[in-house]
Amino acid sequence: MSAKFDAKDFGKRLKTMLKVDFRRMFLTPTVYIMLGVSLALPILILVMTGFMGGTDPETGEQSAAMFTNVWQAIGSAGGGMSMDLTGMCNINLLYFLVAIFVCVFVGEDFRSGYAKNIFTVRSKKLDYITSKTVVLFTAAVGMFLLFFVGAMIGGSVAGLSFDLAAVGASAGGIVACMLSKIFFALVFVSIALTLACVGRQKVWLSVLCTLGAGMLLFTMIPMMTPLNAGVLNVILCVAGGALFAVGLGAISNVILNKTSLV
Amino acid sequence: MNAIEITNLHKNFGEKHAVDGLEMTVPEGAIYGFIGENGSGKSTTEKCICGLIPPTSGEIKLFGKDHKDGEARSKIGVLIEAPGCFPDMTVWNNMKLQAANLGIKNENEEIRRVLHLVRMDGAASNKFKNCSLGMKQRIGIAFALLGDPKLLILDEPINGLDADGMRIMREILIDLTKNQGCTVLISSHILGELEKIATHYGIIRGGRMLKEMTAEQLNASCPTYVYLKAADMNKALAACNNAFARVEFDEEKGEIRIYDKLSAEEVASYLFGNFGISVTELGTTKISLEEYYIDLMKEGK
Repeated sequence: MSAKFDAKDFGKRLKTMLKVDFRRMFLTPTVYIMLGVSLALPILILVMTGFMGGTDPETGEQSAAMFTNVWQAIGSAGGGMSMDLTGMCNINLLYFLVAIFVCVFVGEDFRSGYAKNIFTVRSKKLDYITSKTVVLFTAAVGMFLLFFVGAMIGGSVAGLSFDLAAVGASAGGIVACMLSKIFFALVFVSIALTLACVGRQKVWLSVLCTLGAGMLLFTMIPMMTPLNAGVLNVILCVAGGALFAVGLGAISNVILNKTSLV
Repeated sequence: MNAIEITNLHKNFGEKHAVDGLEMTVPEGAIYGFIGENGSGKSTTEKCICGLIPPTSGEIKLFGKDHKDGEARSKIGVLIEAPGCFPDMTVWNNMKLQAANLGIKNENEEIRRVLHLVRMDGAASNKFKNCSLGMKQRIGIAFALLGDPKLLILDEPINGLDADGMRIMREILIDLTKNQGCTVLISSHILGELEKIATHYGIIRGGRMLKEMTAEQLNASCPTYVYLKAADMNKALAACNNAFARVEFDEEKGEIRIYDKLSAEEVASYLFGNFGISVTELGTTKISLEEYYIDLMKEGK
């Protein structure tokens, strides 16, 4: 027999499933589009809005630029959500992008019939859920890091200030803020994954439901992940992410076990 | 040991009973032709076996183990409806994914082997969406063959295949069962093709097993007969009815069928010698699986 397959050991099963999912992710263009958008988005936002500030040559009217400090693209120190453009067009937008990516990625499994191949040889649906959570969370981490890099590039091009003190943050706070945001993404990944398991081929339905659920959580993000975040914020986000991943993972597992997969 | 053993399987979709107390046994090493009308429950049964649909009740055993058992499931190769490939990916990359999914270590070698088996060596670099229907079907079979499965479940695998494709498919399936101990469950509406390879049959209707039999039993149920056409059909029919024990008139084909153990020549010389009836068309043939199946369906109705 040329093929070797050991289905008994969870570790081995998960390892092969992760291999499949990572390979699948890097072979499909969606992930590159999402990573590209994550990098380009802050550059576009910061550079475009940078042009909005200044003096109108005809009227002589003074207008302030939307972003004056590059760290505004990452968040605000207060923890509250500002309803202006800086509050809406920052890194938090990525949560929606991550949610859409999860729905499209999982939906493609079912639309192409590929899920059939997986579930025929894998009776344990938990392998699929666990692997998808890990892989999609990894993609989300990449998207957040690229947004950060994009913000730095965009800020430099737009000539924005990099002064941390001006926005009430510190270097440690920024690191904690980014970590909190990254771990909070696990909440969105878990919600989107569960809804994608419900919607399956109907990607539009999963996307709509995920965006709806995301809107409810959106106001929590600035509070959980402020620019001056501390260790407590990181711990809270890790705990929240883990809780959602485990809880919703279990629900997704039941959904896949109890319903028709084709 | 039986490769598949199904006991009292039920699957309801709301009020509809797609599978209604199905009993089925597929012996190891068999090519099991699974036959039934559209909507009779074939695909639902196959999906239940593969774990893609949870049964409402009943028991499914694969090689003596529950069908949910990971080890039993890892022995299955499946082609149900479509191969399950990503259209924008190349055939090779799609197969690499499936090979990884199966935990195959010597991936490249194994992919080359199965592509060669289905005569698709040259298609590896093609994008799946650019493949023709027949190519996609062969790729689907290659998918199912990855990892040397001990049980192949193929739903309408010869649809879209040309004559050469069908011949290749026959050769592959016969080789797999005879030389590699593989069991094949194959559903198809092309009964003529199925008849050439199947060793066992299961005929399903309304979610229930109408008849399960071996190819030998089918042969015994499908007698050989002499068919003839004569210048004066009424006279010939009357003469045959008087002389032979079992005579039928096929209105559709306009021929007389004689099921007695006689040769065509004996019948012709009897009719000409005793009644001066000249036969215009004469031959010996056997009831095909298709005719047997149609008759069985008519009886059921």
